[in-house]
This record gives sequence, structure tokens and C-alpha cells, in this order.
Amino acid sequence: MSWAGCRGRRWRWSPRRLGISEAQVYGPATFYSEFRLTPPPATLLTWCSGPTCRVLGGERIKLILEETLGCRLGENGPGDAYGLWLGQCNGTCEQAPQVWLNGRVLGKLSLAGAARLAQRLRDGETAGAIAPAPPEAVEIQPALVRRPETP
Amino acid sequence: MSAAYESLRAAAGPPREARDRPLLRVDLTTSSVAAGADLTLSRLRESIAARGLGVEIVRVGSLGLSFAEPTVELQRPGRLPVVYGPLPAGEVEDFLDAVLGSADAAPGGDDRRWAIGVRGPDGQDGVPPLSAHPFWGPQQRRVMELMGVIDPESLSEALAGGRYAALDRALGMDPMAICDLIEAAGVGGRGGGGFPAGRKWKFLLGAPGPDKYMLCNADEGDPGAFVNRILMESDPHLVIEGMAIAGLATGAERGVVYIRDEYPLSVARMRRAVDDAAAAGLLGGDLLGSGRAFRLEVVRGAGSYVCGEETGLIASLEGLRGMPKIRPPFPAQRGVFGLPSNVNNTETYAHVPPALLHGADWYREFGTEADAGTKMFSIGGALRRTGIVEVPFGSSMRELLEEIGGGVPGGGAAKGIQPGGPLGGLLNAGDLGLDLERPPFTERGVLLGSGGLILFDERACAVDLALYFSEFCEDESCGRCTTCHGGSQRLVEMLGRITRGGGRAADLERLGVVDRTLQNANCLHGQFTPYAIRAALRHFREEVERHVLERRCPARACRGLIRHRVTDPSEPALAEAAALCPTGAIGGDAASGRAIDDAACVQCGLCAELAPAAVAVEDRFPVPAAAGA
Repeated sequence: MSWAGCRGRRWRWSPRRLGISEAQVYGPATFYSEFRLTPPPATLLTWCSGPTCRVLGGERIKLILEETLGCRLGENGPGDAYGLWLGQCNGTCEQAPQVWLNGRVLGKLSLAGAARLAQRLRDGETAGAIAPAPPEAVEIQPALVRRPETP
Repeated sequence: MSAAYESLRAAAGPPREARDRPLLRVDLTTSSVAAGADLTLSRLRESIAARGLGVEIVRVGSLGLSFAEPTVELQRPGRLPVVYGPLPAGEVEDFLDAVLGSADAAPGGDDRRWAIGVRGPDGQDGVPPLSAHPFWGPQQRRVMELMGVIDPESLSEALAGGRYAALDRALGMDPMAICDLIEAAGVGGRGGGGFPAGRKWKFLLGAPGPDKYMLCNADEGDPGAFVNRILMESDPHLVIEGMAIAGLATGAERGVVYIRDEYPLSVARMRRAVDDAAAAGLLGGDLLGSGRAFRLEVVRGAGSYVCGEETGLIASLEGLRGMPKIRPPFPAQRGVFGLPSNVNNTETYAHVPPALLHGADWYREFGTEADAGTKMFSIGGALRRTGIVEVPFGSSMRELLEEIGGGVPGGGAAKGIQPGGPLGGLLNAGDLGLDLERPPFTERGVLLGSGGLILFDERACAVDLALYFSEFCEDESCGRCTTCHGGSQRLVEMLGRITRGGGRAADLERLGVVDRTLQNANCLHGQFTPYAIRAALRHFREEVERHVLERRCPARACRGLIRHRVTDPSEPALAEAAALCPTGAIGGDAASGRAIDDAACVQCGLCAELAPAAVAVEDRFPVPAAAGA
């Protein structure tokens, strides 16, 4: 998940410098789902919201993840250790229903598989212990997944 | 052939093939990486080095065989290439033992465990040709010709495969002649509109001045559709060539490819391809020494569905919120930055070079009167073989889903089809025999759209799907017009209430009122939002009525209408279900017997999955005294 700068209300500097109104910056900054005013957590579980996942049980997987992790979709868990966010379908539907752990697709999930995954995350296991590192760390260029950067 | 193009072709050399050592092509796209292709590739590299084998490894795009990812293709010198898959990293050693052996040991073993087919005219060593495979046989691969064969990050391979030959020819043609040829071929918009590209280009050609924009809509936002992604990840130069030709045909000297943020690999490969093409003089201020100009830029979206609507895309390119505008003015009159612009879908551009090179008659050899040529489809859902295929317009959907796709896994019955993305609507299985062209779909009140087809079986519920798509449309509404954001909110409220058992007989009529109101929305997003519920009412009427009038979900998918109950309290599998139950709703123990606390249960169905024999899924509400009372 990419993240660059602009914590809290610091985005306010840019309108003055660009000579436009705050609304003209705040509008686009909040319209697009990939622009954020807070950084993503270090461990991010992204739930695919696509229709193929839906017809194969994705909605119930979301419910299980939410209940087990103790946070709703779009929120971070206790202490921001992990987050459960919504992902838009990227067309890897042969792996449906799926979630992405820091960008690594965990596919063909059963309901029990989703519960086990969520319990491991809840109990403090790191993403690296659960699934292979995201593709970019395994040498794919260009990078498929961008990691959080320090603002 | 221009001298500049001839020298580029000569420098590129012949197509890559195994000459003195085996050639291993590894599909590396978002689809295959989802199945672990990057891990397979690392393992192959390590193991081949450790075995002391001289093998050339090249990363390629996708053949479209998503169901068999990760796929690899091995060609030995003088032999035909064989496609293998799925090959997970854990099977790499066995695979290499069987097909290549090592420096000290000859290969031994049966490679047919992984073999899918021979990419060539005949079989080889007991492996049949790909054309005999049900997924491959009925396809007509024209724009997909080089996909999965060439390295998408190599301009040389693209040139060796014939890319930019059409651009070279177009440079010698009059702009109007190019538009005429593309119009005569009948190349239609592949995003779903089907509008003839040649005719659309003439609008832009007629606009004055060189400051015009050629825009490529690669904001493939329809979930479940991944045609454009596979195209850009596998053969980016085909898209670039098509855009450059469109630029020549319209006098537009600038182009932009707008790619959705969810496709980082497409962005990277398109940028690489644009840079390579510009360095070779295939883009820029002097195309192949002709003095004509076409500059191309790749822009990444930031996550918004309505940016796939052409005026929304234009607003997004301008750095604004991606809010669609009312047309007219059309983009050809007033597009990006107020300049005349043309927007086509990525796949539309990909059809331009072959059409220009082979002519209108060749192009029209496939397809129908309404839709000429071939179309790429992404097929998925409750389907045995998910993937990307290219078939002529007018092919039967039954053939596509049941023969190519293999139908529902396990041979179950299909319940319906979801075509054309969230705005496309739903069809029931009785319409499987429809021809894949726009008119029969439009007649049934649904859209063929950009090529996503999702098959679903009896586990899916039409009302639940209508709710899902309404939620999607509500979330992605840009918010400018009240008709759209208010209307979609109302749909979500009503459908949500119905799936929780609060349906009222009047809802059946009220859903129609919301539908008719939404037809006054500013853009297609709002106008198409009620397609899902409209199609559900039309094609799954009985199922909707049972939800509303009887509070029943026949598919037992709507959680508000069902209840889970333990029928065999001593079933051992319930122990694991109790440990995993997300709300701890399963009480008791093995000795005393287990039961579900209905107040705590959220009806996720996990226990029924783990202990199907011991947990019953029942209707939540009692049978009504008289239906409809």
C-alpha cells in the first residue's frame, strides 16, 4: 500500500503554495480511495470486494474477518497493529474468494481458512510468518506492491 | 516499408525461439503471481543453476489460462513448445527431473502430469496440441496472438512479432483513409458502447488545430473483468501502436493512457513500453522519420470507479475529482484541458493494428452485423476454467461458459450469469444460449459491457447480488447529482431491509419507482445503477417475491433470513468449529453436547462448512399462514 506524506491536516500547506482554495485540494484528496490522510498499518489485510469472490462466499469471509479481528472493514485493529481494508477486484478471480496479506494473494479461502488466518493475525503473528513475502521482495521488477514509506 | 522501420526490424532479429539450448517461458502477470508464479520462477532459476543446466529463462505475459497458473512453456531446440501448468514452486524439482534432468542425469519421468498442450499445429511425445484443449480450441486469437509468447518488456520481441508494421503503413496513409478503413472494418468500442471507432475518430479529425488528445481508457473498473489488464501486461506495444495510428488518423499529436491504480504491473509495463518505443522513434516528435508526431504518456488513477466513464476520466486527468459531466459537449468538442479529445477502450486500440494491416474484409470475417470481429472475454465465478479468451462476436455464451469454461465445478447446475460488471445486470441460466453480441443482451435489459462474464450456481442469491451491486454503485457514485447518490442509497436501504426479513409487498412496486427516477441521473453510472435489481425482478422474479413476501431465501445466502442449528450435538468436527467460530456462539463441550447460541450467532456458516452433517441451515422465519398474507 503506497503512502507518501500529508499526515493529519498538514495538507493545508499546499493550497496556499499553489494559489488555489483548500477545497480544491481537499476534494480530490478525499474523493479517491488511494489518497489517504492517515498512513496504512504495517500489516494490512485487504479483502477483495469483487463479484466473483461474492458469489463464492466472500461476504461471509468479510464477516468472519471483522468479528475475529475486532475491527470493521476500513479500520485498523487494536493498537494499529493490523488493518482490514477493502480492496477493489484486480481480476485474479481464479483465486476467489481471496484476501491479500500485504499484497500477497491468499486465495481459494474457505470460511475456516479465513477464521484461522484472522486468529493468527489477532494473536500477533507477523505477515511474514503466515505467507511468503510480497512479490516485490522476491525480485519481481517492476514492483507489484509498494510498501509503506516513511513520510 | 519505410527505411526506418526496416532497420528497426532488422535490428530486432527473428522471433525468439530455442536455438542451441532449451527456452523456458514463465508467465509473470498479476494473475499468475496471485497463484505464486514469482515463487515458481525463483525456484526454477535456483534449481536450473544448481543442476548445471543451460536453459534460457524468459518472463512472458499470459496465454489467458488463469485456471492453470502458474504456467510455464518449455521449448527444446528443434522441437515445438509445450505449455505446462499449474506448476507451483513445490513441484519444480519433480518437474525438472521429468523434463530436463540435470547435467549428470537424463530427464526421466512423465511430464504429462503438468502438460496442457503443445503450442503448435501437432501434438508431440503424447501431448496433444493446445487446439485440442477445450479452453483453447474454439478461440480465434487475433489481438491475443502474441500474448504469453513474447516478453512484454522487450521492444525487440514485439517488433519481431510484427508490432508497428501497421503504424508504418498508416504513416503512408491519408488520415481520412485510416478512419474510413477502420470504419469499414467495423471496429467498435470494446468498452461496451460498441460505437464505431472510425466514425468517432472523424469527429476529432474535424476539430481544428493540432492540440488534440487521444485518450486510452484503461480504468478497467468493472470488478470481475480483467481483459485490459492482461492486454497491457502481455502485449503493451499493441495498445501503443493502436493509439499512435489513431493519432495519425485524427491529427492528435498527444495521447494519454489512464490506468487504474489497482493495476501497478500494467502501469509499469506500459511505461516501460512507452519509453522503449519513444527511444526507437516509434513515438515522439518524428515517427519513423516521417516528420509526424505522437507523444504518449501513462497516467495512474487513484482508485475511483466513475473515472472509467469518459468525462469522469477527463476530469481525473485534469487533477480534479473524477466527476462525470453532462454531455454535450462531447469530448471531441471539449475534452481534456478543454481541448478536443477522443476516448477509446484499451481493447479497441488493440484491434486497430491488425484491422489496418489485414483490411476490412479480413476483420469482418468474424463477428456479426452489429459487432464485427473478435472480442476478449474474462470468464470466472463458479466455473471450472477461469481465464481470458478471444472469440468471435456472436459466439454462443453456452459454448463460452460450458465448453471453454467447463461449466460449474463438479457438474452442478448453473443458476445465472452476471455480464458486464456492476452495471450490467443479471441473467438466469435459461439465457445461456444467447449470442455474445450487444443486441440480444440489450433486449433482455442487461449489458454485454466490456467482457466480464461471471457464472453463478445455486449458492448465489439474486437479491443478495442485486444488493451487492447496489452497494457498489452507491459507494462509487461521485455524489454530484442527488438522483444518483440518493437513488442508490434508497436501493441499498430497501434491498438491505428485504434481506433482513423486513420486506413489504409494496417494495416490488417501489423498486420500480426508484429505477425510473434513476433514469434522470446525469451520467450512465446513475442510469445503470438499477440494472441489477431490474434484471433480478425480470429474470429472478419468483426468488425476489419469496424474499419480499415470504421472508425466504431459497439459496440460503441472505444471512438475515436463515438460522444455523446443531442437529448432532456429539459430532466431533464441532470442536474445531467452536474454536474458530468468530463470535464464540457455539457452546457446550463434547460430553454435554454442543449448541449454537442464536443471539450470538451471525450466520457466517463456518460451522456448517466444517460439520455439514451436524449443522442444519434453516429458514429463520416461520412459514406464513398464507403466502402473501
